[in-house]
Amino acid sequence: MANVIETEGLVKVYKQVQALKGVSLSVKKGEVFGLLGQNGAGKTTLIKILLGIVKKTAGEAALLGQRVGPAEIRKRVGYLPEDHRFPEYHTGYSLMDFYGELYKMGVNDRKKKIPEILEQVGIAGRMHSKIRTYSKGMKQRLGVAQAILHNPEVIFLDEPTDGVDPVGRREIREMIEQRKKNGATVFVNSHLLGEIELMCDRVAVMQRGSLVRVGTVDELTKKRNTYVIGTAPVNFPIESVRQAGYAVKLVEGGRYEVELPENQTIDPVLEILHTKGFRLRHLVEKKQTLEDVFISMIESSEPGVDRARKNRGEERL
Amino acid sequence: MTPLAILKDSIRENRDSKILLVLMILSLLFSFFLLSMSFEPVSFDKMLVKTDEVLPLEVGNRAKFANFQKFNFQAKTTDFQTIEAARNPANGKYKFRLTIESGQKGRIYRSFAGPIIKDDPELENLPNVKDPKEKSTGEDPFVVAVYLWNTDKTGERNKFLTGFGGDAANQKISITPEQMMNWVKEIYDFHLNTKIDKVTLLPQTKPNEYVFEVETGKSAPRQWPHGIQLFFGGVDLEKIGFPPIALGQLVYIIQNYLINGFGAAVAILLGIIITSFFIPNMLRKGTIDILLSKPLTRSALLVYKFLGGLFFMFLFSLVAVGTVYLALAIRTGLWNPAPLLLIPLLTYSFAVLYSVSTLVAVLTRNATAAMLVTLVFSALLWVLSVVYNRIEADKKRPVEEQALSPRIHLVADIADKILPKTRDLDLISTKILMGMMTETDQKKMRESQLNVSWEAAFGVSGLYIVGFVGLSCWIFSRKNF
Ligand SMILES: Nc1ncnc2c1ncn2[C@@H]1O[C@H](COP(=O)(O)OP(=O)(O)OP(=O)(O)O)[C@@H](O)[C@H]1O
Ligand SMILES: [Mg+2]
Repeated sequence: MANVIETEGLVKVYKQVQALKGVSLSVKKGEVFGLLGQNGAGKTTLIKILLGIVKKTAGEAALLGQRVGPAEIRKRVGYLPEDHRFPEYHTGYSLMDFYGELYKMGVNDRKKKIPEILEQVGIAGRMHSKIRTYSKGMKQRLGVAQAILHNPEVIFLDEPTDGVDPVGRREIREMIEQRKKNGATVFVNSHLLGEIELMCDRVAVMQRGSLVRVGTVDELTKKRNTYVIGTAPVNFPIESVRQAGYAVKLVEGGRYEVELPENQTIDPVLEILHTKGFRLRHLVEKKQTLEDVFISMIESSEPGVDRARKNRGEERL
Repeated sequence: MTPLAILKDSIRENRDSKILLVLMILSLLFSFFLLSMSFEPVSFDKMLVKTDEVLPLEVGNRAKFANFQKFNFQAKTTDFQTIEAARNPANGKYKFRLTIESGQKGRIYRSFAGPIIKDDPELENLPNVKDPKEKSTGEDPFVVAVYLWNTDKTGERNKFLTGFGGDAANQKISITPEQMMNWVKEIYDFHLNTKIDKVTLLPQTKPNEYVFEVETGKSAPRQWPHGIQLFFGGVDLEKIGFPPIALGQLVYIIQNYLINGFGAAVAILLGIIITSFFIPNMLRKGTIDILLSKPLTRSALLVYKFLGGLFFMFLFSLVAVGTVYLALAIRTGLWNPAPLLLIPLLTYSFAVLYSVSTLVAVLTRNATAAMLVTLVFSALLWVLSVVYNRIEADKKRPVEEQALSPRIHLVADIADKILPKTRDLDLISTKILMGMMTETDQKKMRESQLNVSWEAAFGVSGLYIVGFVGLSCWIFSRKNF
């Protein structure tokens, strides 16, 4: 089975809240998949169902080709939860050792790998101190370390860079990349869209328990039918182009944004420029940042779960 | 190995809480105190002096009168000789002459430290004695004492007499010399912890005087009275009013009352409080998520965690009971390992309570709730067992005298059958500890008359443990985190 994660019409109803409303999603082997969404959209709930931490209400969910539930499959899965709280009586090392044992790693394997991985996440120097003495970012790094300790095939990371400094964030990104090279599938929840943009192959946007967009980062950020044009001389023939049915807007750097009408290409505009003797200096199909896409998507659709709480009748069951 | 990993994790958690360390230090301190005790076997001639005083008393004590009674005869030991000396006086052999001088005929006993009783109003109240004055007329008090001993209907002379009188009140009393000699033998063995090899009744020279030649055999040190000194001889308990006591009895008292009674109560109380945090801590958001993402089933996780909590109790009992056992064994030379059975027994009792704590913890994820419910539960079990003992005593009385209706007896019986038997487990510990004493010494203890079914105590309690833990697992497996 090529899909490492597969859900079909997944529904989760907590006592008062419908957290997932029929989510169908598939993630292929070796992909880095990002899930975006407002607070309370249901991202964490989705991961928890896949890991068996939360029981689904309806629908299907499969992990590594097996229906979720049996404990055995989790041997091949790593997980960094959001808001994790490690038992404070452990040191970084002993915690990793404990988890390693739960993953049935051998003694020698653990002795070898734990310092290696803690070195990678940059806390090897403090690995024998009690966790209660760690800073927030150090705990987060430890959390990432325990998620990849046993070389899992699938890694779920819920807000992996939460509280981590910029250097650490890059290190974590690099680590994810490296895992991907080794064939692992990575599923990331994050609000840091810049980061998602940097590391994810595919992205899904979740809104109030439903997926509203799924696609590659390119697909999502490409704003179709809009081009940015720069010409020499700079006095762009706005009126002529408008008359041809295009919307024109001056943007920074003396460039112009041209939006195509329905079923039209950019060619007539180039034609106009050519006949009027303008020389083309810049022509790019316009891209947005993921953040732009996300914000506009949220604004254009209905409000998120948390805001919807106010009109209870609709949201509550 | 997963169970081992979780056990190790629990140990780490215990160690981190430091409380175990504190408890261990406390029990070590107590053991040092025990190590500072010394036990000096009383020399035989000193014991004999005591014999003279207590013999008439001990005999009276056997009869179940309302007050302490002292038989109206005098005992005197003379002509003390050592046949075979030994470093420990208990192992020696001795010879002496016991002279019993009976008091005035008809005046058989006197109340403790009071005047000789003629018309004892107390006696008139005894159910079986119709006319006490007539009954006690004309008899030699010593003969009556021996007679009573021999007519003990229970067939077990070492038990307390269940009544004074009955047939004895109306029968002609006659006693053979053999019965008298046997009496001497048994009374020394039972009340004075001395093995008697040979007793001879010498020909009577005076009508109310009986003279016995007595030879003792080797006695076991654990039944031999020992004087106790505390703090490396600094405090002599005998000087402040504690008479010497048989070594086995002493060990039993320390083990049963201080360790199995007080110590265990404190340990279980602390255990409930401390362990009530373990599972709720594990179930906290952010902690449980990670554990649940590991490749083990929820039931396994909870059961291992439960065992981890028990392990805390086990460690604690191991140290507390172990050190006390060692200290006592070193000082007394009694190495009988029976007290060590307290370790698993205490842990098992605790398991019943901890299974309740686990259930509440899974339901509420709250340590305070788990702690309170468990404390209330254990207090309730204790109260119920006290009430049950009362009802049981009522049931044993003749039907006319029962204060409670048969229905209440039935309810009590059913409750006793179905409730977890932590008290019975406690009683089993007591029975085990009694093994530190000789059989004779054991029979002196009221506990020896209590019966307890091991199968029921372990079985019913076990069912509760399995039931509560099973239910916890079932609920835990269905929860969202
Ligand atoms: N255990 C629970 N019991 C009841 N409701 C829950 C529970 N867990 C989550 N919810 C609700 O389900 C909805 C989805 O929550 P979820 O944690 O999946 O959101 P999220 O997308 O991860 O949000 P965030 O970005 O804030 O982490 C929320 O409305 C939340 O209140
Ligand atoms: Mg979340």
